[in-house]
Amino acid sequence: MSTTSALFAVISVAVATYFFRACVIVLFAKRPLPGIVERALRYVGPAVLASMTTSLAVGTGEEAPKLVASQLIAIAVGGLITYLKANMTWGMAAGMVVLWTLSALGI
Amino acid sequence: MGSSVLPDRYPPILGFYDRRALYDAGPLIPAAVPFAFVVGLSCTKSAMPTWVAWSTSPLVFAGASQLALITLAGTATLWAVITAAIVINTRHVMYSAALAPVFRHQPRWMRIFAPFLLVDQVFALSILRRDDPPESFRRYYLSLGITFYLFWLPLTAIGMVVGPIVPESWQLSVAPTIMFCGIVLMGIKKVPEGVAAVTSALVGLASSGLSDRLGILVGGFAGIIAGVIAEMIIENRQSKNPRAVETLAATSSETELS
Repeated sequence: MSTTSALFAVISVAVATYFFRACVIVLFAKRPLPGIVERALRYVGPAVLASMTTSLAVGTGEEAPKLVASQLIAIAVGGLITYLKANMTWGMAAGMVVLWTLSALGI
Repeated sequence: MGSSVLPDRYPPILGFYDRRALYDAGPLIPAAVPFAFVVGLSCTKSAMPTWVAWSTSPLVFAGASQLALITLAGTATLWAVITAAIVINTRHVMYSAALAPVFRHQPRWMRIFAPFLLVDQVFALSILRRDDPPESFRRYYLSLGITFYLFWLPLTAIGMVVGPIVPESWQLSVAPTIMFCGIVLMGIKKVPEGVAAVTSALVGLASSGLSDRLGILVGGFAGIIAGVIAEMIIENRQSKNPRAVETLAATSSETELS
């Protein structure tokens, strides 16, 4: 691949990525939106984050869903600790300890 | 609800940097190291010139999309490579939509600049602070975004040199998932939000076989629709039963899940 083609590809993806990230914020943040859209926007956060968590947990593409018991248990424990202690460091630490322990036990 | 345990009284570093952002980003940065190294290593093996491949870090700043662009280069047509890399980032439209109401109270320069830093981690952490005062949110968001940006660039560069030195047995790739799971739970405050999250997770699981992470979009849309329907059902019940309205008003805090 030539340098020119490679640069064109990189810049194209950079511009498109920025557009995806900025489009609604730049174009609609200051404008009143229809009520149903405002209502729907309240659920974008929890919905997309939950979907992304599932995607990360089970993988994507042809091999999905790839369910590994130790990882699912670790994710559940880590998430629960994060929620109960309102502290992500604790949740992360607990989840990883559970993961390494279960993996060491061959689960 | 804030995500860190640090109280707001701590003064910013250098008069600007919000140390809560560093505290919150801290656990996610080690988790990003293996992936950054993979991206860096891929730069050295790409059909692209190495420096152009690495330039995806400062210009695109989106790990999965960078990896697709770098690894597919030379194996498909130019437009196919570009399209594949772009499709992976379509979920960012939903991040933009979710944060748009928060940015309503931000200055124009912030609305233009901030989206560049809107990676998964920044979205997940900053959405928890959507109710913060505008100035506080701005400081937190920028501190968070700049932190991830300044770590990502050298990490991918180091990856070009050292390659995959973090053992796979450490399974650090699971760490972000653990954190996102906690963030989802922390962000659910009302029943419809819980309905949206559960529906999204289930539909996301069912559609996980789709390529290019499109399952995230499918699950997200399903969750949003479910959340809106749940809210309308609850409102409808409240309007039909005034006594229930009084009861619900008195116990509104009990309907919150956190």
